[in-house]
Amino acid sequence: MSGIRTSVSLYSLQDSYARGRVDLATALAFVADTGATGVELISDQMIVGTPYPTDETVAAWRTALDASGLAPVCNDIFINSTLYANRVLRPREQLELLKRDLDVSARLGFDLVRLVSDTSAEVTLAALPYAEGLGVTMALEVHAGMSFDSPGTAGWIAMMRAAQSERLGLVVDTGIFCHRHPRVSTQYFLGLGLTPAVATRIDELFAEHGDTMRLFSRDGQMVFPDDLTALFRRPVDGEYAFFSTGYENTPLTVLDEYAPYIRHVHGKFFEMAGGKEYSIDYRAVVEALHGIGYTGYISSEYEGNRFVPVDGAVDDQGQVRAHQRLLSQLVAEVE
Amino acid sequence: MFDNYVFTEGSARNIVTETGESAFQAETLITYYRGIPLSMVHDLQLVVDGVEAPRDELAISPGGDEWFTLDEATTVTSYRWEYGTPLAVRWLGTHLSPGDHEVTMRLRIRVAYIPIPFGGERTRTVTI
Repeated sequence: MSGIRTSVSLYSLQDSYARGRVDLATALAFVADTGATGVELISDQMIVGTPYPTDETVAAWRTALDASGLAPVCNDIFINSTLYANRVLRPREQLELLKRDLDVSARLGFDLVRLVSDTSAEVTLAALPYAEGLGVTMALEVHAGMSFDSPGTAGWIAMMRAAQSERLGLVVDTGIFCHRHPRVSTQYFLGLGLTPAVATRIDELFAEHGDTMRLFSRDGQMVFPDDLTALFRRPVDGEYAFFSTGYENTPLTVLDEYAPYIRHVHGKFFEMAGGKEYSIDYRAVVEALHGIGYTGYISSEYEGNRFVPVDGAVDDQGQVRAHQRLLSQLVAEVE
Repeated sequence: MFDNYVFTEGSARNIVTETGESAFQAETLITYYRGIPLSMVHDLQLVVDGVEAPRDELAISPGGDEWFTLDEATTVTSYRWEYGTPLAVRWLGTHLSPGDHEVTMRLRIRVAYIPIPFGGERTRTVTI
């Protein structure tokens, strides 16, 4: 048995929340009922008025959290650098927004925030004294399509290594460990008119090369092989090929190097079927995390919701339960 | 990928605004997974029976208490469109005639880490 714990990101329940199947309190109660012991929040999603929620709103969150018995594991925050249509916010402006999101995270009881993948090293470093003062750790999400090798992520990690602060770290998203392209995405794009031969060829390329990210990426640009583009018939074919690079298959050994910095793990999943995830070998992931001595949380993060056909039912709650069952089984079994 | 949230079924109707003006109104959820300041609504289009509403005749409101034209909304940074809250969209000065109409709503928002605005679109047959 490992010391790994499981949590659920409320990202997973976005459809249930948007359509009124759950409110914040019932979402937390549902998470606790899955067997998870922690919860991950997106304060921009479910805390009204963020980053300036009223004291009553904060109190309601804390009451519901206490009632659920869940630990507040991580709050996912963003910097709205595209606040205006005509320009990107300058670093000093971004810093102020980041500080406000750190404030609200601390008010809600979190000591860890996930910074979205493109958060700049410069802005994070400038916010570090403020985060240290609040006692909040800022951890960059290492996400498929922007994994360890991508320039932005690599630059942020270089800053983290140089700064040597306990208040900096990484959130690994298991979408970087896809051994095949998610089937639900393929089905969704076929419904939009994707040429079936393109889907088949992408699956073949994935199998032949590990993933399509490494095959298509050339000096920061996406270049598709000729035998693939020859199959393109519609714009959606190119879109699908581009999106296929968002499912990297990074070797699990990468965790060894970054073990000291991993503060949290996003248990990305697209489709639970037959007790397993279709694209990610969770047994291997849990074994690798156990192998590096990781004892933090893995948060179920259901991404399949966006691949449900228009007007189709989103079984986000059933999928989360299935993923939690798998995680708890693996955490108990791993030696 | 968020087409499911565009143009809420059953939301389209003729209304009379608080100032006595006629308008056609419909609602949409956000084509994303978190709330955003209203200024991050990049574009919204309404097409009725093949006729696109002029941009300056559209007004939007999350919650229905304050209304902004799309150009006004570009500077509205302190008023959030909360996740799960319907955004009401009005084509001011328009009333649809009784019967069926084909109505398309297109919504694009800007998000922090995706280089191009994105969103969704939905066409519905609306019976007035």
